[in-house]
Amino acid sequence: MNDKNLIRNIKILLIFFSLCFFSMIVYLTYFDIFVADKIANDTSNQRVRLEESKILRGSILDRDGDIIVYSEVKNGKDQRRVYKYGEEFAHLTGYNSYKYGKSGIELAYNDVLIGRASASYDMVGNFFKGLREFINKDTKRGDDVYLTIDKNLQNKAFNVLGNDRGAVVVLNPKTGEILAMVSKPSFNPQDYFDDNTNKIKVYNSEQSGAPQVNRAVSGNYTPGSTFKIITTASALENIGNINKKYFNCTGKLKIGNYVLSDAGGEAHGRLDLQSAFRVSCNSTFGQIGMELGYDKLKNTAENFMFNGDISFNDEYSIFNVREGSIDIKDEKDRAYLAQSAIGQGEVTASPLQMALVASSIANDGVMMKPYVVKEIKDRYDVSLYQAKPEKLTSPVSKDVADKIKGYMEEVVKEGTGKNARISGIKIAGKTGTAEVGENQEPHSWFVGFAPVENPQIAFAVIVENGGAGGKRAAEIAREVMRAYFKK
Amino acid sequence: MSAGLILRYVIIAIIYIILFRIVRIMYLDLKGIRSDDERKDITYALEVIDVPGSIGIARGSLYPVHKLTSIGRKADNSITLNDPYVSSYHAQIYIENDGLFIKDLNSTNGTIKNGIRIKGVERLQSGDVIEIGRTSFKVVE
Amino acid sequence: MEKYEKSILKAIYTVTMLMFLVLAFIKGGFNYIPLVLGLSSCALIACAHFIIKRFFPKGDKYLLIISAFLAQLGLVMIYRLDSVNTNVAIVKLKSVRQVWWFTIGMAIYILLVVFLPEIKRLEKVKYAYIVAAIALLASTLFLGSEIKGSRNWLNFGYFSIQPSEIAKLFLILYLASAIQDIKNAYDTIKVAIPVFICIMLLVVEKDLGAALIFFGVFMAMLYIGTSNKKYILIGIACFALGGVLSYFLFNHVRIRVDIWLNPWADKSGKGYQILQSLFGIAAGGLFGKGLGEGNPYLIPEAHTDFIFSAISEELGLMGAMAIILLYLLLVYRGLRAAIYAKDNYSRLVAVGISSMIAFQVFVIIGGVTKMIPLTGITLPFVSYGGSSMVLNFTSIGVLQRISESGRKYYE
Repeated sequence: MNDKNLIRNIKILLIFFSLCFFSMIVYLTYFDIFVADKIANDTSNQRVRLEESKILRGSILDRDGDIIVYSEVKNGKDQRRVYKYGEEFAHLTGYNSYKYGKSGIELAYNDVLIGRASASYDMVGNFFKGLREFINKDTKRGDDVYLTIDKNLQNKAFNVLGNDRGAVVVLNPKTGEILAMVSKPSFNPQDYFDDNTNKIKVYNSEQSGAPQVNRAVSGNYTPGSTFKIITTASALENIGNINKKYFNCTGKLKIGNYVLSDAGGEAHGRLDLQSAFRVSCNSTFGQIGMELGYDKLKNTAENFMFNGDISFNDEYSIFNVREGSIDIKDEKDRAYLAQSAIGQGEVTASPLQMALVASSIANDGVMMKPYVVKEIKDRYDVSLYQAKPEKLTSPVSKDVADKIKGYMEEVVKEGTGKNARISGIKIAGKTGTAEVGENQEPHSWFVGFAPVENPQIAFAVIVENGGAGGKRAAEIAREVMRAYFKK
Repeated sequence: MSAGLILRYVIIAIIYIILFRIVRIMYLDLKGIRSDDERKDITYALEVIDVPGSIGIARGSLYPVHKLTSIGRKADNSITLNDPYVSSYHAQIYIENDGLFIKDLNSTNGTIKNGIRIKGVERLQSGDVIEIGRTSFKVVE
Repeated sequence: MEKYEKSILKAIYTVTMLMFLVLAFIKGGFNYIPLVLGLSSCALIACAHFIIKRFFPKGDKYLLIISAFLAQLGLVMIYRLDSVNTNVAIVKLKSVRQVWWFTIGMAIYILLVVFLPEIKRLEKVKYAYIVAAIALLASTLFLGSEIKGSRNWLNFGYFSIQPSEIAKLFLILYLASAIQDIKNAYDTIKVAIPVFICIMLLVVEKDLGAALIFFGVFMAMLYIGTSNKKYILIGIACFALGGVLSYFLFNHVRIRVDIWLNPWADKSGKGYQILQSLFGIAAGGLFGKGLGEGNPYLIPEAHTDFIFSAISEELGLMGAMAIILLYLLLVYRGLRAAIYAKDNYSRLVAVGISSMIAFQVFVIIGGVTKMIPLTGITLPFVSYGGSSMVLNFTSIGVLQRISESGRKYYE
């Protein structure tokens, strides 16, 4: 062991230890920058609860300021979250639990509800708010979230859907504000806050039909004849003299080996586009689809945000939106094309998607970005954020929209949608009966808007296995409209 | 609240001041080591040219002189001479400002350089012969 | 130099008192206990420094300064954790006990520096060390009690000790001598066998952290002693093989690795400790929540194995980094003593002790941050615990003694 060697070796050892120690510092830095924020809100981190319990959680209110969810202090210490309307607003508000985590608004707007986001909206105001809290000796409280939802409309939609599975979406076609959004089956967020394990077990069970899924935005349904709105739009845009054309319906349309038949095999005889739309003639729309071809049909559908990206006009994204899709397995196969044209086969859509389709027709061909949060206010009623309507896209021209408007009005007046009629209000609509399998009742659809001359609401209703669209879904739409127009 | 916030930074700041001070001293110290290394480039050694068998070192062996080489009878010397004519701590040979020096530690029988008994410290050159007790060393470079 | 030393010490006293002052006001009111703790620990350091400076001016003061500062930081955090339980008698507070252990550690340190003979003389009874080390490790297998899932404690009624802590030092004293005799590969195997027995005993006792440290120390000393890289490569190969084997042989090894790979799989069970530790570190951020502002008491074993996470929560990444750097400086100081030591035995002992501290720090800090699989050992000087405090100051005492006699060469 000579000295030079030894000193060299010890230096190498020191370098080795330095590397070890610096790797720890690098790792810790990496952890703090990239990992810390991701894990900090995990349900098993009790700090979340401790931090949040210092601040009274803000409320969630409807568009008129009626409280839907609020927090109260129980026996001077613990907070209790109260979901006043339980199942009715479940898919909007979501739940807030230290055990199961958060969902919906409770998750997306958590920073707002615990007051952490106030400074990012209004730095100076936040300072004065703190000062005011200090002077008044108020306990700290988060900010409030005002929804675009109309509590009474939501309540009506929830009740008329009854025990059926399905969804109702109602929105303002001019702004994109969602006025009601119901999905059934539902769950009670209170059960999650209170940790009602029996109920949660039921929610998670096979038979309960996935109540956590918000069918209104994430539902993946066959749109059926409601899709004919899009086929019609495509025809009006792409086939020059379509208005003067007449089609012949024998009740059956033979395409090679495949037979496309009309509801009940009924033969509609000779009819033009408007009458075909009114009676929802499958043979005619099958023929139109084949005439349009795959590319044009798909193009129009994509203008209506099928295969697209429907972004919400909200500060934080709340929903897991499932966009409609159109995808034909074999582009050359005319049978597939005819099926797609009547909304069967490889076409799917969520109720939100179809409500947006109806709203674009109502709004002169302009689709607005949907949103559910109208305003954020702090505890002293100072507004921190107000949503501004934003255009999403223009799927069709005003001319085409106006024509379809007329067709849709006819559907309710004299066609398949008679059940949606309300005296004194002009209503536009389109029924849909989506075949879902041999031994199952079809899904019942109804989309539309009212009043025709100045549309205030657009909507989509689906009732799973609800039978013909002209019946169950149209009736539900009628009741919702009655509630809105107070008739 | 805000006082606590300031204190938080003050505490961490002082901890780092302490760290930097320690690091600084160690840096100075490290520079010291390096210059020692440089000086080591000129190395001297003592070659044993005459030694009785009983002393425990072999004729012809080389003892490198680094910083300081002590010679004496006790075991904790750098060069131990098992010789009754040698004192426990007899002499020291060391390098200072690139020169080689020998210092007699008031030994009983003295240290002889080139045949003359030295007093205190004397400078050594390559080729000098040193006698300690019955052992003779030659300074080599 | 001396002026610097004084200013560093003054800064240490200042920051310690400042931290305890913050803790004195933690619950709104005023509590005198933290001030007493602060004053007494500062007095202790001043006293030790005075003695060392007065009687042994040539030795390395930074060994003492750094280790004492680390112990101070640990004490602050232990009191911080104590402050959560308000209804514990003062004498039963962990921080008060820790001050006692600190005092005992310092006393042993001073006694060692004053009375320890030349380290080289310790070499004479080299076989006694390895026999003692194996006996100590084996003793827990038969007499030990299981605490926190590891069978590595000896219980003596009033207090319990961790024999593996003492065995570490004995192993170093043995290896420092045995490694010098290595001339060929056969000798190496002869030296390695007792080390292997120790490591196996530790693995069986589920004290994996200590096993890792034993291995690391052995490798470091072997490298310095023989300058032969081949031994190290073979050693690492053996280690990898042994690691894989024990993964399949021992359930507890497998569990540790699985938790490391995915702690989320069993959040409230096996993965609980490490996740709570990570939450703590995550809550700290860059500058920490501030003393008394975080929730470090949510971390299990926050005062012992997980004290680093608790410090990270309240002092942040900056505080954590400072601690890591302090350890690095301490290790540097130890290795420096090895360079200047005057005989090979002292050298190897110094290398052994320095690498023991280095590996221990790496294994536990890496463990609690999920950089490497977690194995429960203490953070030297900082963690609560008598055995580790006494052993660590004994080690520093030995290092000090080595630096003491080594420096003479330069005067």
